[in-house]
Amino acid sequence: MSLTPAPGAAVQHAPSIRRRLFWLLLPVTLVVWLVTALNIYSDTQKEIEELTDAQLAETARALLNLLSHEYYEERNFLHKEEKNPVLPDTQKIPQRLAATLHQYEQNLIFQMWVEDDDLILRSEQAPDIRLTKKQNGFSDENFGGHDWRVFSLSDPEHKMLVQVAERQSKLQQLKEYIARRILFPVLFALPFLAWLVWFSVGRAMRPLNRIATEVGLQDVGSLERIAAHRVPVEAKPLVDALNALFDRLQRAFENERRFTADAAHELRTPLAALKTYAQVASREPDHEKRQLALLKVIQGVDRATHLVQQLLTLARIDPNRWAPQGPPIDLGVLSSERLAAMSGQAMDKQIELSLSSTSPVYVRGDRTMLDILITNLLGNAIKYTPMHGAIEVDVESVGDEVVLRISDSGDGIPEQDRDQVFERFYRRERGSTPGCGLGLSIVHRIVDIMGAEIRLDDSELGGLLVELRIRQCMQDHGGDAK
Amino acid sequence: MLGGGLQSGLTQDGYAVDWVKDGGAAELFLRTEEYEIVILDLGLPKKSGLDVLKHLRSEGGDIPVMILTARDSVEDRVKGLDCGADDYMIKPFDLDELNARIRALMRRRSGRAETKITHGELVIDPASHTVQLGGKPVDLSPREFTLLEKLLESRGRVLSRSQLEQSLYSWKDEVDSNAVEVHIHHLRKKIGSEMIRTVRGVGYIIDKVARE
Repeated sequence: MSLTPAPGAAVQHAPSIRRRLFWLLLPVTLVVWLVTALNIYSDTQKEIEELTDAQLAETARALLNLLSHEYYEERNFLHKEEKNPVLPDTQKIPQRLAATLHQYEQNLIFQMWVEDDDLILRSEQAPDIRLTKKQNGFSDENFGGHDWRVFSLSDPEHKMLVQVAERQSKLQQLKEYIARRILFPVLFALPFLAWLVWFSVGRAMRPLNRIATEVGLQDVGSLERIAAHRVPVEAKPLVDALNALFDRLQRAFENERRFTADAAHELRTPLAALKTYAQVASREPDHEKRQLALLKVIQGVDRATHLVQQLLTLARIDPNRWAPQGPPIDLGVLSSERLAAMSGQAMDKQIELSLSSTSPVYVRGDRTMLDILITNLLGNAIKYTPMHGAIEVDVESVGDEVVLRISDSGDGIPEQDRDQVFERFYRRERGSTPGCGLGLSIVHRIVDIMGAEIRLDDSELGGLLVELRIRQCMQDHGGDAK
Repeated sequence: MLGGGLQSGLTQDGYAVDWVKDGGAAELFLRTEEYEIVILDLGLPKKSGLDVLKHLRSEGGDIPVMILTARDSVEDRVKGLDCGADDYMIKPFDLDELNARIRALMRRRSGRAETKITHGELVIDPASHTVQLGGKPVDLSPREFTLLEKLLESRGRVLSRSQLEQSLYSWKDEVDSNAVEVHIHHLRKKIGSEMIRTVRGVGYIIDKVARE
């Protein structure tokens, strides 16, 4: 059973800018569009209703004016003719008038009432009962199975009432038509918009794919910067960061490569010397000379051992082991311990050692690394100080730093060589003093990891002064070590 | 440390060896002394071995140069040879092999492929440090051997006393003023007095063709 998740699942959960933009842009666009469409629709609807109402009112007024006049003329005429105030034939007059009112079509109906109950005139489709009980104004009614918009207008002077109605369904049709006209483009545009978003985002992301390809093609051995031209502004920080990383890696690789080559060289040379002396010893007939050669072999083994030890130390200095939050360490105490441990070597050369320390001065860090650091510096001082010389170690607190000074009465290092001595395998005077040229590189590496500072100068004793500055850890915070 | 070992080892074989520890000193010695071969460690302080080599060749020095290097990549070796080295050895090397290669380089320099040098009845073998005269072995000290070899390699040419001295002693050795004469004297006793002729005021010579 495989524990690795299916690749498909991983892809589904991975955030996608394209999908995100797609799902962000599309609904927002849709909502904005719909709200706009709805607004337009409702505005239009209102406008149509008002227009219709205005039309109804106008029609009613026109009818009233026209028909009341005609009706009274006709009644007067009938009065004269027949002296009988008979109601006009409701069928007859509308037909005659129907021709003139044809433009209103069947959607528009009207009634004309006299004295409240005489329907003297009506359009063909109009029922013979009142359209609305209302005397004046608009109302919505239902008759003959349809919804109507009705407008009543009464003329109290002539005791006439005109009612005009327009079928709502016609209005509805108009509204629906307009709504369709507004919404159709949206429906067509939406898939197009979706495609456009998908496509353009994909296109915008293409430089990222190019960058990915370029990064993928990078050879670990020779990292090359990604060309910054044609990179979109948004991706530039990424490219810049990658390029900076490549530069750093390139330097690190270069450094490692050089180190390996140097280490090979530095290991092979003592081996070659060992072999040579061993061969010299094996063929030397003279006993004394043979002993001398054998002594050289033994010394050579010691030196090679020291070299291997230093190489291992250098390799083991691990930045991750440096614990800025570690327990505080009294640098004064540590220095005196180291000094005591190395006093034997100093005594062999009758070197006068002295330590002055304003204890306690606390720093944080890895004890082993601090040990290596101080041992190397002291070892160097002892090595380069001549017989009957002097070495002074001084630990004090200056501001928020702990300053460790090691001065010796050796030959010192000329100013122009001071930068180089920290380089791996650099030895100023090869052969004159035993050493592998790694001690100060080890010191430098530890100092780097600690974020401390190291400075070389002339000492008052005439030799070299090594000044180390480490950030101090305040005692009251440091007392409660976890 | 390696230099010291090489000096001891090569001295055992009868060579006079000068050992200097940096590129600058190497150039100085190459200018002022005469050598038959240079063994050059490329990892020199101050001036790299390659720079010394390039400088030597640019000055027209045709002395055979054997490179000692710890860098074993093909490019490094090619670079060394292209800079003018005649041979190279990678550390750690075998002293006997180094010796054999030095002999080969010197042999070529004196223009012969034959490992043994024959002169009339005299046959010397630089590889085994043996000398035969008329088929009988002759016992020579290392310095006597070197002197004879040097004279035989330059047959027909007069070698000055100081030239011979340089091939016998390194610059550090205390040399008696008549050391060469003493060795020649011993040599003549062992191989006969006619072979090495004294050219008064100039030096010594072994004739190109052995007299019958």
